[in-house]
Amino acid sequence: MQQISTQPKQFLVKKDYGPTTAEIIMPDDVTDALVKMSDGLFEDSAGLSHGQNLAGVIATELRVHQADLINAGCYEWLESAVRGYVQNSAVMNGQWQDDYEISSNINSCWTVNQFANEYNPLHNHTNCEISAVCYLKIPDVKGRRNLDSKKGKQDEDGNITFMYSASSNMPGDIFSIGITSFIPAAGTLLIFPSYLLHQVYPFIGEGERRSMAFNANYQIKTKHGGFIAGNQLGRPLPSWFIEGKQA
Amino acid sequence: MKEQITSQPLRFEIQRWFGPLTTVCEMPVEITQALIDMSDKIIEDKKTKQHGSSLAGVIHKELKVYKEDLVEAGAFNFLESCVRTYVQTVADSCSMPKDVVIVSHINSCWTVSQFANEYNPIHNHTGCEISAVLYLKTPDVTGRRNIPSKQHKQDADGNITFIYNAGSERPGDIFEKGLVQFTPQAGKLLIFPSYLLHQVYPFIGEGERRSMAFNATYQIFKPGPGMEVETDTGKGVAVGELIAGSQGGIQYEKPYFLRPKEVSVVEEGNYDNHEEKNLFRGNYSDTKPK
Repeated sequence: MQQISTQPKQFLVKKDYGPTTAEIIMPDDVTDALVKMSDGLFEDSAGLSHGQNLAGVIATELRVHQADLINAGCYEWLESAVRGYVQNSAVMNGQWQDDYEISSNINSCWTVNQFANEYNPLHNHTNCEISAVCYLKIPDVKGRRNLDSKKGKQDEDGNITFMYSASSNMPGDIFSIGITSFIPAAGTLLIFPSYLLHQVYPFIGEGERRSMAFNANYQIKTKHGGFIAGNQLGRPLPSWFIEGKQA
Repeated sequence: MKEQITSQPLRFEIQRWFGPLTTVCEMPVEITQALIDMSDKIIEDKKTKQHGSSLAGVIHKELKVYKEDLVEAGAFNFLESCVRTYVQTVADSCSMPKDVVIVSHINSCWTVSQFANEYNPIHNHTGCEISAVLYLKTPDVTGRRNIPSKQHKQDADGNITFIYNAGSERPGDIFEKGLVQFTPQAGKLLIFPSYLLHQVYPFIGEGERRSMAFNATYQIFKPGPGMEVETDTGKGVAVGELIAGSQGGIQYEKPYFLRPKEVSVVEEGNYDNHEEKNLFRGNYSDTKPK
């Protein structure tokens, strides 16, 4: 019997489940301003370490104050990126109405100056709903190890890996993904839910892999103030972030 | 106010209903020593083949271990029995009937000699349902970095981390666990479902962190009569419907695990799964709904 060969009217492969994330390419003026700002922090002998609050096996992790971001001219840009992430996620996840209102605040920020053999173990972020990382300086660390038995294999050195679920990453299953790895590129900003586990692999050899990370809170409310989503506690901004350096 | 009742509950049991089951086994000293001696020989043998091209590790020395090596070390039956005990204990915890037929086989094995600044990125294992790692040499690598801003913080260097689910590890929630970390100890054997993601952190300084990993496959059948499956003894056993495990059949002969060093270990085996002589006393520590 002759088989029907008519094309389907629609054939849409969808990804409806799992967390939404944002991958943003920053304009050059924002990237340049943040590189310059972080140069200043790195060179400033009074730059305050944030390492005690962080998981990284990394010697130089420096606090970025709200005033630093304002002085760099990037504060509002980054806040807008966070709000854009919140609104787009709410729309994609079917939780947005046009009369809803979003408020969000970056509530901590730090640079990570990663050098050879340092790494960031698997962790997530506390006291926030949203986390982000942007890349400022990325040396080419690929292919440096030259392990005979690993020729032709993907190299994880210096990559960031986000981990969602082992059972979404079953071997031999193409329909779901539980981990995803990025090769960082200077000027890229990634925004993600703060509970999402992530880590950074070490690398060998010369070069500084410099990133800047920040956390944020958000709330979505109705125009009458009814709570829809986000931070239910109304957490205040940490004093170290807003104090210390005045714009 | 009326006096409040202070009687103790008749039962108060914290239970864990969901998530994968894993095993922590402390091996007897003679098994650990036999495997150290075996791995010493494998490392010294210039003819030993690398297994690195099949593995995720950013590690120079990952060497193939053959079934013959394990048999010669006197540790093959022990490890097979550990796998069988894991499967049997998990099956019991799932309230499977007592008369099911369990078949399991180790189907690949390798040593990992990890040195400074090497690591194993997040990965899981393919071609198997069960994976395991045991530790043979574990230098004390904690506290070596001396990063001033990290004083008094837990050190992950050299640790193995198992990762199940980010949503189970939400900050501020004590009722769920999404990742678990172990500081390895020589003589410890961990068995887990092969899909469970895991990784090993690097360390700095002197010392070899030596582990041996293996994969295994299993099948659980209703009792026969039906098709016939082969046990490790080479005997055929009549079984009924497949209940759990590999649907592709036991992957008994892997490309390297048997072939390069041929040995008639099937005659030496003693793995009749109808008898419980190959089972250890498994301890299922978490409870299930009554």
